[in-house]
Amino acid sequence: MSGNRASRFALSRRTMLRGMLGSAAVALALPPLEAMLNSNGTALANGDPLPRRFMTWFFGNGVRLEQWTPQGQGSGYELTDELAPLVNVKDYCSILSGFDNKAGYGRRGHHDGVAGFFSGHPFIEIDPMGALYASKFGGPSIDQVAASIVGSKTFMPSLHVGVSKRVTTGEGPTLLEAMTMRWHGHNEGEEAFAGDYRPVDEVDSWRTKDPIPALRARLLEWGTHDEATLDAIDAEETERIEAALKFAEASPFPDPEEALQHVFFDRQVHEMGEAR
Amino acid sequence: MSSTERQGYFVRAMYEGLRDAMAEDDTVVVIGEDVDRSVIGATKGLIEQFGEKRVRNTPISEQAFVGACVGAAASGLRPVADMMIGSFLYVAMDQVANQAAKLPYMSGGQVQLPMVLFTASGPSGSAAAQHSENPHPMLMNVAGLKIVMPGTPYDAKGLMLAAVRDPNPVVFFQDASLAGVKGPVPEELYEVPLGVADVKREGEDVTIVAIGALVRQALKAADQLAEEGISAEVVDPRTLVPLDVETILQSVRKTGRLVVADNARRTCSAASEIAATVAEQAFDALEAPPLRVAWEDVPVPFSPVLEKRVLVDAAKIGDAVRKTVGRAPAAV
Repeated sequence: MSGNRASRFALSRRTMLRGMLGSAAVALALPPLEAMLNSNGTALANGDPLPRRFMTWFFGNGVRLEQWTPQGQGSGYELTDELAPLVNVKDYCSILSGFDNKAGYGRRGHHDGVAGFFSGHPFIEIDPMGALYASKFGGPSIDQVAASIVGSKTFMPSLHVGVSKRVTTGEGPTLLEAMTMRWHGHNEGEEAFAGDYRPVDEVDSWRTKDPIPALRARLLEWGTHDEATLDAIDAEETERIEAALKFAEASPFPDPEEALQHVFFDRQVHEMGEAR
Repeated sequence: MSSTERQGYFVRAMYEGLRDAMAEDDTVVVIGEDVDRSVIGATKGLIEQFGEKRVRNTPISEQAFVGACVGAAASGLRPVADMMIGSFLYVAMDQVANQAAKLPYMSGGQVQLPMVLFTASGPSGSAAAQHSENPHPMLMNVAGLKIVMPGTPYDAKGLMLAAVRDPNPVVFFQDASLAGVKGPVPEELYEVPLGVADVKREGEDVTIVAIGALVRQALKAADQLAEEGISAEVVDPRTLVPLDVETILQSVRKTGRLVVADNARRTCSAASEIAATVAEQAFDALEAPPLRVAWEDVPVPFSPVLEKRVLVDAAKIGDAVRKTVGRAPAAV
């Protein structure tokens, strides 16, 4: 996968499946930046261990196994021709071989390959709606299984990047679908008569991914802020809101004629505001 | 209980019209945001009866789902979209005004575009500037859109069926304040034809043409005026495009005076159009200048006291009538 292409075309996983030919996909979490590490790059600058990350990457064009799979076992293994680019990081790499993923065989090479590799489930064929072929995963991919368990400890449970031949060869528009959550229906009161907007379990599970408490946890974890500082910020903001509410409730209703003002920019009012 | 005594809510009368239209024609589909649970109430129950294939939730993109309606209507379906709030028509304006309204004309009348956009609209009590709009006047000006704006549950049900059956794009405005209003709604299927006004109250001294939610306010004003010895006739156009000009002219020729109450800003309002039409075509019959009772030309404010200052109510309609018959305004 060329780096340029990956950064220009960020695709949802579903879209990626539609155009798997010649494509690669990767799921990853944000990497720690160099500036956050100690001088050896083996821990965070404050001495804390590096956060664990999990990344998967798939490419569908296959390899020549005799030039890919290392001979021998253990740390002294010899890199094969196709693994030669790993020479500088070899000591950090474990190469696992000899697996036989039955879910990756069979009906439709690239669909089998990616679904089997990522999920261990055979893919499910779906209506291609005019395209040649379309499929979806038969079960959750391994990165999402990991994200569902540890994802609440990061800003985002996971990030997906892919590149689709449909896009790179101009075969037509591609729909990107961003999965997000809303806590309430169109107005917060409607649940009273229309019932829960989303299942309670689902809402609860998304609450654990709420970025605001996640940011707080992260700031504490990084040690950039302590509990007292964060509590003080919260208290200050709450007080500002309470004060604004009190001001509004204590204020008299405006003169009805005020309704007819301010349709257009009013220099006098603007200057009064600035003077304040 | 005879069918005319059966009472129903306005928004459920809309539902019944929709339900009847879907039951009689398999090509009628309903789409919009959360139409399965229904935020305002007109689509609640449709998914249970007609299934997910014909009652579809959409993402929050009015431009996209109105565009989908235009395409669906051009290719054989009769889509009905719930816009939810009238102000949101602005989001879909290109699809509404430039696509839906123009396609039949630009195809030389070859393309029929049977689609309905319905919405709760207008002020609903401190809904503020961006959720209180009633954009029927500007849509009247587009040409190519039929516009329905009923004032009673009975008319809402019958006009909904007529709107869905019509081979043209129809925008159906449900004044938001009418949602919970009750009135007679017959059980059976019936159609109220587009373009036919209804005289809601007969009178001799002045014609009040009242639109949407203001029909009720005009009737309330007429009760008060009757106590003062002024006999007001209340005409409800029910549809603004096509507009039943003949019924309005007949009434004005009888009474000699016209007050038009419109739940929209005064400038270029439906009231302006009706007053001008009457001035052109029945000038000889008028004993006083036609008066418009409409909103002040400002956005609808949030504060209740400011909102009251801007909007139209029975008291303002009553004072306009008093003015046109040469009486002093009512003491507040």
